[in-house]
Amino acid sequence: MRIVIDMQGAQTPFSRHRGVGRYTMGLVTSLLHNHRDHEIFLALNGAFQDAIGDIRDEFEGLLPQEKIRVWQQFYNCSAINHDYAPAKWAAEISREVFLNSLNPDIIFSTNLQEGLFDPAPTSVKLLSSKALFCTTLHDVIPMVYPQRYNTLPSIQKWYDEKIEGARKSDIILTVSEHSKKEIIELVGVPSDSVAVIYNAVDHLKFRQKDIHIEERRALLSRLGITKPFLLYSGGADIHKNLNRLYQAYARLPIETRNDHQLVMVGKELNSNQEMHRSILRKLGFDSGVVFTGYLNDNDLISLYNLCKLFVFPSIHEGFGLPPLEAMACGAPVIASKAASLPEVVGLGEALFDPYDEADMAQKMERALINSNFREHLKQNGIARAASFSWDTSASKLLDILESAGGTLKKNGANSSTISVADPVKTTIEEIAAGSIAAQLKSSDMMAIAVSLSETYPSKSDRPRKLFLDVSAMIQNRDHTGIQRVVRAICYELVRECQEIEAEPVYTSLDDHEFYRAGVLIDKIHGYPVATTDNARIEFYSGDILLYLDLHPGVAISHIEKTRYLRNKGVTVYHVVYDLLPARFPHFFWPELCDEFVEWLKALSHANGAICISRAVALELQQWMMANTTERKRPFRIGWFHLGSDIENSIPTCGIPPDGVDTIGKISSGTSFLVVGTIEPRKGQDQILDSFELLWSDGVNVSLVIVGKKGWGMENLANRLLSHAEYGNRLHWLDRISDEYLEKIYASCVCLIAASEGEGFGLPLIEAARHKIPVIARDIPVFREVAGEHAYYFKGSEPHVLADTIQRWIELCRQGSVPQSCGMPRLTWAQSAEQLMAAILDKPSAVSLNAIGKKRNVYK
Amino acid sequence: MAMKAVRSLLKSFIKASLRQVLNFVKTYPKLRIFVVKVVCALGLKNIAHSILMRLRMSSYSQSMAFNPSSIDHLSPYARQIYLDLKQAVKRLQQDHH
Repeated sequence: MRIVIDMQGAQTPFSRHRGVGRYTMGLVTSLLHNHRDHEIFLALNGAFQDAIGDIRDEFEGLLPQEKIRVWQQFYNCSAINHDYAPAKWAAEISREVFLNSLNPDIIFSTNLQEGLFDPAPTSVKLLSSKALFCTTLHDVIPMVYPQRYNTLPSIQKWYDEKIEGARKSDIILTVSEHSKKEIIELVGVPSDSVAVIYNAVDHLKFRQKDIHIEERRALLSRLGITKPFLLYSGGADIHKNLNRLYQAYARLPIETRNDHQLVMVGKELNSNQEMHRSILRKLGFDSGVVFTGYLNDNDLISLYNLCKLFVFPSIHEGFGLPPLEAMACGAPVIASKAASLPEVVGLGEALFDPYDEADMAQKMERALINSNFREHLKQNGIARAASFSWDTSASKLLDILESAGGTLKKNGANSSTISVADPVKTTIEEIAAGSIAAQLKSSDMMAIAVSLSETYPSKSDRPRKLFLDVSAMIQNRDHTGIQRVVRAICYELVRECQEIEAEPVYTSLDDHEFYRAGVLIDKIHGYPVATTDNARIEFYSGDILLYLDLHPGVAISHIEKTRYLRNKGVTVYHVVYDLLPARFPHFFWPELCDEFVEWLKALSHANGAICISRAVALELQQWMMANTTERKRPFRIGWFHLGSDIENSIPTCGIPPDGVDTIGKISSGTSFLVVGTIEPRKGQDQILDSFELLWSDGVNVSLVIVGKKGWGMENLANRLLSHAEYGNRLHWLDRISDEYLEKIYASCVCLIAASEGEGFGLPLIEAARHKIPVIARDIPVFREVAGEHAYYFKGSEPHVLADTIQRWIELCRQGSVPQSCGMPRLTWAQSAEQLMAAILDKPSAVSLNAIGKKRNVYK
Repeated sequence: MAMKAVRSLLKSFIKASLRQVLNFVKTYPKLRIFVVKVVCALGLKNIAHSILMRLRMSSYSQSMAFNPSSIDHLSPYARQIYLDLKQAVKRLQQDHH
């Protein structure tokens, strides 16, 4: 069977942090663990982007991400919104078509009562469907107290629709026998259509635990708890009966009350704190009560473990999750004898009459002063809580669904089901068929159109794609080493990648859309491609976006876009070339460093990063662990090495008129080559100083520097241009073509790589390709790239390098310098292959341990 | 009310202009370095940095918050869906009448 679960109960701001949210996550997690070979899809509403990320994170490793599907909804359809009717209609139709488009046998909605405050449609069978509809109705409290809850006609209308939805459901689930009884009575459905699936707790989280004294002290002090305390956690609705709880607390003997604080936990309690305090003041006290507001699970579990007594006075509950959580943590629990609470607590002695403050106070006092009674409550609670487990509930639910599914099979599917072959067309037709559709405004229709276009691909059979971001190259006309890598990788992936179609794209700071990089595509193919234009890119679930180019501004301004794409099911990676501005800020201008750090933080919003060397991967891992918050979905860090066959990197061409003469001069002597932008970290200063020492010692060697002048290098540039050896034994070639560089390599005897930090060190590989030896600074990345095939030096003084060069010349005469030709090097095709292995997480991929939580994969 | 609208318009205009200038400056690395130097020399580094970051962050959220005012803002695919929906509503409403 295929079961599609509508997860809005864990998404809406109203429900996700309440019992409904816990129920949804707990039950679904156990269903996934015990799926009995049924196929499970989770359907998420795109209107709640924050929750999508959390849910995807939570189920990472438990359910393949492609089984978590999102329907987009860029418009408000909440019932409290006065103009909601036409939008609500469109949203309900859109949701039902979407759920049916996943071809389910069962559609399971974990909470029917959504959509009052939030844009969460939860209609049932507006369209005829072959699937069985199973919905959870957690309680019918608004039907029990209509005057309290359905105070506005719009609320009453919304609630009536929900109840009608319950009636239309094939299976109604509820969370206690008490609720089942009320549903049968008040909703008027047959008893066999309602099943009880109990709430439960995650016993791995909600359990007794030792809290270290320091941790305990810090928590209690932070919350203002100074004495042994009674605890309440939950909502603040009228049926929670908090007024009587305060009155009962006031009735405690003064010395007992003075010895115990009352701690009230809950978001709603905090927002209405002043009202609660005024009630307490009227009762003649205020100071003994602490309102903590919303607490995260860790803090809440600690309080359950630390409280002397947990009190739950509610007069009506569908289930009553807080007492169960408290019992699982070993708290002595007393509760009201109303509604479902006796089923949960399961001990007559622990119950009190919620309408009788004196009875409540008496039970509280007995528990506070009588340690034997407390221990009895505690042991009962632990045993009782153990009988409620999500696994048991999930197993029972599957029994029910299997039985219903069997009946469905026997009776045959509904003959008049909607067509989901073309869900966009079906949605349009079904929306238009409603009489209320005439009230849709133009802006509503545009929002619906965008929602549908973002939900369903325009070409359903389009295979998934790899989009390569080349924004810096397209927009900034940069011609740095990085863009050379970008060109080469694009060339290989666009022309040769068999596994997935690759397409270069670009965007800008102001635009969240991506566009085809038509110019580059033409260049790669060498002729105008018929379909090439700068069309807007449509991302489908399963696509991959690789920020191949380095454009920090784009990555920073696209953090939200990255989140949106990941939520949609697109995998997003960045290529990291180095961490130099973060590691050596003194070598770069401050603004670049600031922007670079922002960029590194932006990376953490992606699925992972692929670095150009293991050394950079390790640096990134350390940086991320130290500077970003812990994440649930692992952040993958892989690496690949760069290629060196320049002919396959779309090389630039041209040799200047004086080039031949220059090449002649260089090749006539013993010339040492330095390749790279002139920057402080590259060590060109030290190299020039050392050559001056060599020249003054009468050593006849030449120095050839290839690279453009970088930031803050005016002094070195002036020194080079005004040097006595300039044009003779000193050459500086600025912005030369790849073709010219090839000739220069062939004319030199050795490459000097003196950089103090690099992402990779492509010149080393290029030197190896030309079979010229290498003198390199001893840094990890050069060791990684060149291994034993380079002659290394340490130290930043000029004489160190001068001595190294002298020794190298001596060794060269003896024929014993390390030869670079054995240096392992890749072609760009192999480099692109390594990159793809890292992106697709193939067994051949090289990667570090992912940062963040990782679980065993879906069975 | 009118004052608020004028202020909001002015703000949008300044933001859009700043973005244009930034994009232009970014396209020319030498000009970019020169501007950075001038900003630093004037002691405006921190202010400029915070404005830059704010502009970058807001540019996305503004464009992502879908507020359709014109069919021109729709992608070709979304535009087609919009036109199909509009036509279907019109046709079915006419049939009803």
